[in-house]
Order: sequence, then structure tokens, then C-alpha cells
Amino acid sequence: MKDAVRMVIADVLEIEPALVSDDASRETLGEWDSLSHLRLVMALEETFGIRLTMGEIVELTSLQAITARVGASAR
Amino acid sequence: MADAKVGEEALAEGAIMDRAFCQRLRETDFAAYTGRDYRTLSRRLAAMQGSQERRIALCGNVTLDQLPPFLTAFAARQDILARNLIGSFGQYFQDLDSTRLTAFAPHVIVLVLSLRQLRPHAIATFTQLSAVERQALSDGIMEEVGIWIDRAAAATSATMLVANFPQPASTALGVADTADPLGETEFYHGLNLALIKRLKACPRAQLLNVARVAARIGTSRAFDERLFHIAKSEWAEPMLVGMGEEIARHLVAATGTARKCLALDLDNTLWGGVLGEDGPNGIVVGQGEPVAEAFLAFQHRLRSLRDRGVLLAICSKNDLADVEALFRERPDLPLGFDDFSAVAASWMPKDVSLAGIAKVLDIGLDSIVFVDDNPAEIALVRRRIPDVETILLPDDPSRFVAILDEMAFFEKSTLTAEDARKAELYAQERARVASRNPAETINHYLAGLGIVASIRVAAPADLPRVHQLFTKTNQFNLTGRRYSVGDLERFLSSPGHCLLIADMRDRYGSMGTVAACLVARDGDILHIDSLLMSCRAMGRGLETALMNHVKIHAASHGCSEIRATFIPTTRNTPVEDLLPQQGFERLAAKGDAHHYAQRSAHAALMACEWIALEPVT
Repeated sequence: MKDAVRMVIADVLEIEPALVSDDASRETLGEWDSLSHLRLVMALEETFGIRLTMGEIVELTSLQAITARVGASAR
Repeated sequence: MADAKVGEEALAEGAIMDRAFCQRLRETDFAAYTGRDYRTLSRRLAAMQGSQERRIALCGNVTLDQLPPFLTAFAARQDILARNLIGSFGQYFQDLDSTRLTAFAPHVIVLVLSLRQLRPHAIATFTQLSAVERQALSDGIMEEVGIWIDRAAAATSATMLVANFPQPASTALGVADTADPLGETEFYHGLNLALIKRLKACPRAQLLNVARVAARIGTSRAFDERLFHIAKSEWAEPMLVGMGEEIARHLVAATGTARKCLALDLDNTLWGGVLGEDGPNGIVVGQGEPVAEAFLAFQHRLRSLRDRGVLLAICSKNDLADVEALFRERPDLPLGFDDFSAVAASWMPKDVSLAGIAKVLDIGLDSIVFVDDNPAEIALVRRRIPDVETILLPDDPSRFVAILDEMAFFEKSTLTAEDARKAELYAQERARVASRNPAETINHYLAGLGIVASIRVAAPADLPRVHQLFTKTNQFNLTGRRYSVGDLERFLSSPGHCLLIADMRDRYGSMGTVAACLVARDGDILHIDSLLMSCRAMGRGLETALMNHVKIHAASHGCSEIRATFIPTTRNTPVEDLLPQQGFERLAAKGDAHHYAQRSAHAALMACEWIALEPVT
């Protein structure tokens, strides 16, 4: 699941997946600005068939947090 | 994710967005595209070069950064390569004065305002406002929009697209809203109506109908409250798709790349069944039966297209006599035989028929859209004459009207008197040609037509038609220069320029405004910047009358010399000898342009006694 999320992040930010390390977050990736974050939300909802609340959109700002949220829906 | 989407394959550096690429895009089903696909395609397009680039500035008080990939994709489907500039958030007035925007020199400038951003307190407390306060709110918003339009008109020569204000999905007063004095429903309708009226006063501004796009998509899908609260971005992805498509329509209109002719198959296109077998009263079209009514609705829509200046043509494998008999025997149908400006009903292959239609109408194949229900015919036309755009109709005729409406090929920003009468004008032309006796000399024929022309300086009210001439005239066009409405407005107010136009009529009817000539004075030299004439008016010597007028104009303004340039294009061979014929002498060639001049003192007026010049009132 983590790798699937990694691919989505890399795709939206237009960077190599290898650059999205396990501890990647809005703090560590310069490309992950507020606009890319919106695009990421759209892409995550589209890819994983989920709908995020506003609170989640604000808080899901790292690979780990997103993987946990997507994984919870998948179970 | 579907594979083989256009734009995914690797592109060479400096790749060209050519016709074939745009054609493939049109054949691509955008319904299967995700936001990611639009962004991928738009990145490819950003790296490409195109012959028709259009710069679009997006201004407003909402986040519009998500829009360009969608807009770029839909524009590319119309052979337009869009380059976008996003204004500073909320700084739509300051944008107009910024060097960033003026250096960008947009062809189109878009203004999108969210009322929740523009008047946050008033909109949030709407129910607490009195009717008078609500009206004042509406008036204040309109005033601000009006000032922006005036400033944008002064700051740029761009076409302005001003977004209207979609109704919220629900109202604070519930079903009682419309009973309230100036409730939300009435408020939004009033505001949007005021905007429509305001924009009519500005020929360069157009309504961007956000409300209609949102209604088509469904308000609940179109807007995303999460995005608004987090990022002041109102449009969800389906709405971004819809708005990209809508703005692309305006681009076609502003660019003047609309196609001119819709060529139609007959059997199972204009009616159900086969005319040759079922006969005029056996085919399925008319009142009283669902399938027949669907074909009837399609014919009504085609009739509207004719009324907005699209030439209709028949391209069908049928016997001509059967087709003529059908229209004679079925006066109940919205379309009559005379509504078709060209008829190819024969057993020739359809590519041959379409080439014949292009010849009769004197238009290029790239001005034709061909509609058929038969995939084999569509495939043949696509293969043999790819310049013709093709539309394959589905089995269900209830979808035909929507398919017609979805096409952006015929979009124009305004409809002129000439558009409404276009089919009639072509019918007049057929009568003229038919009246011609082959043994008769050309001058005798022309004298018999009773041609009357009036040549005058263009007024602001003429600009929509003059702009049409500038965007659509390919053959009789000396320099091929294309000017926007904004450019033309500048020429009208510039003391050094004079924009002349000619109206023409003969005993078969009026042709309206058919020619334009832009001249520029530089000291004692008069330059002919542009000279163009509708192909309908060619061959009557109007160019001589117009050029005589220019010679008189030059002399009366104290110019000692007239200069003109012929810039060859792929289509303007009809004017390659015009300047020597009008007494100009060739100067040395420079690049592709051919320069000519004549001294005013030697500028003899040329004879064209068959044209009566009407004094300008």
C-alpha cells in the first residue's frame, strides 16, 4: 500500500518515486506545496476510491499518514 | 488508467502541434480522462509549438491554478495551442496594470469572481439584509465588474470573458426564498441578467456562463466546499473539465477558426429509414412517433445552425430526383431543399461529393464538418480527405441534437446580419450564376447585375462584421493579417489609420458588408495595411472601386505615394496580380513579401463603370 501511495505522490509532484522516501512529508519535499496538495487529494480519492474529510485533507501531509488512512479504508 | 492516450508517448523536443495531432485528440474519448491524464497531456502541449497560439490570462478572487491543464486540452482539440497566465490571487485590478500581464499581451482575459470572496459578510448574512440593501449589494457588484471591464478594455486588446454567478445549490430561506422580497434566487437571476445587459454594451466582452456549465454538470458535483474552505478553490474536477471546454469554445469564437459548412448524410441521419425504398411518406420523421420526433428535433436544430450562418449541404448516396421529390412532398419538415447551399445526391464516393461541395461553395475542405451514421463512410472520408472533420452519429437519434451542440466547430462570438442571411446569400449567388449566358462578355454580365456599392469609414457598430472578415477571409486577402476586435477598435480611434468598408447589393439582393481596407498614413505616404473581400463578392470589380476610393483618399490627405504589400499565403493566389492590375509598380522583394508603390500624381482611377457608387449618408 505504501508503494502505491508513493507512486501517486511522485506522479502528482512530477518527481521520481525514489525521491519520495519513507519519511517524506510536506516539510521534506519542496514540490509538495498547497496546490500540489489539492491535486494529491484529488488523485488519492480517484485512485483509492475514498473521500477525505476536510480535517483529513489538512492533516494528511506525509507518506506515512496517508498510507495509514488509505490502509484503514481498504480493510 | 487506459493506455495509448494521446500525449503519453514521448515527444521530440520542439514537436509541432499539427493537424494530425489535434485530429487524434478529437478522436480521443476525454470522458475516460482523469485529472492526471489532463495534466500529462497539458505538459506535452506546453513543450510543443503550434501555428495558432493563444495567450489566456486568468484573473479573479478564487484559485484558478487548477484550470489550465483542462483548458489547454480542450483548446488543442480545436487546433489552438493555449498558453496560460494566472493572475495574482484577488488582484484582478492590479493585474491589469502589472507589467507581467501587459508583457504577456493576452488574446483573451478571463475574470472569475466568487461572491463569497467579493462580499463575504453580505453573502454570509444575506437573510438579514433588507430588499433595498440586497439591491444595493447587486448594484455595487455590477459597478465593480463594470469598472474592471472598462479598465481591462483600456489596458489590453484582449477579448474579455466575464464569469457569471452560479446560484448556490440551496437557499438559506428554503422554499420560502422566492416569496421573500428579492430572495437569493431572485438576487442571482437579477445579478446575472444585469451582467448580460452590461456586456452587450462592450463588443469585446463576452459572458462566460459558469452557471450554465454548473447546471449541466450538477451543482453538487461541480462545487467542492472542502476546496473552498481549504484553498479558496471552488471548482471540483468535473467543473474544471466543463469550464475548460467552455473557454475553448470562446477561444474558437475569438480566434475566428469556426468551420463554415455542415455536410449531412440523409438516410438515418435526417430521417429514419431509406428514402429510395421507403419513399417520402415512408421514412421516419415528423410528429406523433418517438423516433420520428427525434429526427424532427434534429432537423429543427440544423435549421437553427443554418440561421446562425452555417452553410448546410447534402452529401448522400441517393437519386437527386428522389431527394427533390421528398422535400416537395414533405413541406411539414423544418428543412426545405433551398436550405441546403450545396447538394451532392449521387452514387459517387463521399470524398468526391465533399470535394464538389467545397468547390461549389468556394470554401476549403478544412471548413467542412461531415456527419454520417455509417462508420464506413466516415472512415473513408477520414482516410481520403483528413481536412474534413467527421462526426459519426450513434444509433439513437435522441442523442443527435446533443452531439450537434457539443461541437465547438461553429462557435462565433456574435452573429451578424450576414450570418442570419448566409444561406439566402448563397442562393442569390446561384441565381446570378444561373442567369449568366456563357456567350455574354463579362462586362455585359456585370452591367446586367445592377451592382450598387457604398464605401465608407467603419463605425464601431461595424466591428463585429469587420472582425469576421479579418478572421475568415483567406482568398481575397492581400496580407493575411488577422486583427482582434481590440486591434480594430484601436484603428478606429487612431488618427493615422482609416478603416474603409464596402457594402454591395445587386438586383438579386443585398450582400451586406463584403470588403474592408485598412490604410495607415505615415507622413506623405499612405500604406495599404490590409485589403480583403468576402469570396462571395469576388469577380465583380469591387476591388477596383475600393482601390479608386483609396487613391482619392490618398490625394485628399496630401499623400504623394501609396504603398502596398502582397504577402503570399497558401490560399491568397486570387490577389497575387491585384496590385499591378491597379497600377502599382513592383519594388524590390524583401523576404516573402512583395512590395509595391504608386505615386499619387500618377494614380489614375481604373474603370469600373458597372458599379454604381452610392453616396454615404
